[in-house]
Amino acid sequence: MPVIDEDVLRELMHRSTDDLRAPSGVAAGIVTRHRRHRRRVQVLGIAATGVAAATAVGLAASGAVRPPAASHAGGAVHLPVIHLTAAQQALYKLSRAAGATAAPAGRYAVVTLTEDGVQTTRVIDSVTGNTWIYQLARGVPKTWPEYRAGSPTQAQTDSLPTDLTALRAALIAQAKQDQAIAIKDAIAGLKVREPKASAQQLAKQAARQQAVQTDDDMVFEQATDALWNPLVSPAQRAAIYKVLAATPGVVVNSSARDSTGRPAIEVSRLTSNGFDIPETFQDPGTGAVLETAFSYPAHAGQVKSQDGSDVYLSVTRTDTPPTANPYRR
Amino acid sequence: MDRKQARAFEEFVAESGDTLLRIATLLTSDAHLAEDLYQETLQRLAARWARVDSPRAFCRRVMHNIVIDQSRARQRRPRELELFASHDHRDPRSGDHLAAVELRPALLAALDTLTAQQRAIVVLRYFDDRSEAQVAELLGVSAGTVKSTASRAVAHLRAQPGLTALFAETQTP
Repeated sequence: MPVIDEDVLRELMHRSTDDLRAPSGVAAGIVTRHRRHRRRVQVLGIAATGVAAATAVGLAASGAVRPPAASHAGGAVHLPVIHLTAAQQALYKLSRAAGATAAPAGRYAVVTLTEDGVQTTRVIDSVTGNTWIYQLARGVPKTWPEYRAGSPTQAQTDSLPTDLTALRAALIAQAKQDQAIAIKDAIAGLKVREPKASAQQLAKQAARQQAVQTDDDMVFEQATDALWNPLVSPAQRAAIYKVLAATPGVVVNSSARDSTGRPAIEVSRLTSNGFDIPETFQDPGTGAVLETAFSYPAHAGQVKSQDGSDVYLSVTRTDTPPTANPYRR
Repeated sequence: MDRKQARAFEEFVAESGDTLLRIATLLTSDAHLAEDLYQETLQRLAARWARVDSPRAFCRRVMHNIVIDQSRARQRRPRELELFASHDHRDPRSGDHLAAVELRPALLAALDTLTAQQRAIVVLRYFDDRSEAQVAELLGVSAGTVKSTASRAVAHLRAQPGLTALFAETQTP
């Protein structure tokens, strides 16, 4: 029995809050978001691209996905009239703009951005896939720049198809591979916390932790990630916008501005579980990504809120290899 | 954040999430604000995970800073009248926790009468069981300030109408 005021207060605070449990959705959203961050460095793996291409060929060959059928009458071909929605028209406009840009030259892609407010420079070697990341922030370790290997090379990125059916299938296959990796990671984490649980229990629990995604969720997520990839060619970028135009639920705001005030076309889509809204802001003139962000939909009287954002300031190519940290003083 | 770091982050959230939400609730008195605070803190932690030595300390410092910022912002705005008392924050997912549900409104109402600084010191010192030196380091004040502020805050809380009976009841052998 506590006898001094401090002990009483301690007990009151514990007793009055011991029924509160952290909402699992919040942590899951953050983890999902950071998985996407990781994917932006390793956007498309070799294996997945190969699998996806094979899947796409299989689907196309089996007739599971067909382009709109043309009607034949008396030998003449009459294409059906398709009315594009305003959103689709805006995405087709982005597709044309992206397709008209010049293919970048130079071995190293240099991307400067602010990542959740932190000034960052990423340098990707398009030949080896090696990536250097520099940041300007308090507490950045002296060992930085952080160095990562295994980002997709230009050759691997080039294998992303431009045929719309094959591209959609490739994006879905990539998402499934990412999910398999996430489940493997989750199992490894659970094993530490619950060493006595069987492999089957761990697998079940890990699968439950993953966000349930429809094919359209996967396509939107992967397509917007691929748009960010500086190694993606103008033709691939143009095809990605067309795939987005054919994806249900995509919302387009043609008169948006990014968080730095630059005019932008905002492309977003509420995930099918209703939990979050990935958003991307595009340059209307080039189709390049200006900003990516995550928002949470308004719930029960709360306003829609945004969960940080990455603002892309410049994307250039050079043949000069990275040397010193540009932020080192 | 690479895969190994992401896994460590997930483990940290799994282990510390409940405590962080409870601290957020004690600092804000409102279930929605507490969830926002919890979420914002984890986002900042995730963004800096590779550079953070002590995630626990980082989260507490961030929570305090956010609460102080919000408190200053509120002071600059016209005061809003509360239409309904917002201290019943029972979590529908939890079981039968009558004690918590009965106690919480009184405790949160009493904590509302403290300044943001006093409140953070009381929560970190007595809920989070931090030493005076640790609280001082987290909040950037002297250990003496923590000691005197905590002492005054506890005396102030004891005198709050909603808590006087609870203090007496809990202390009765």
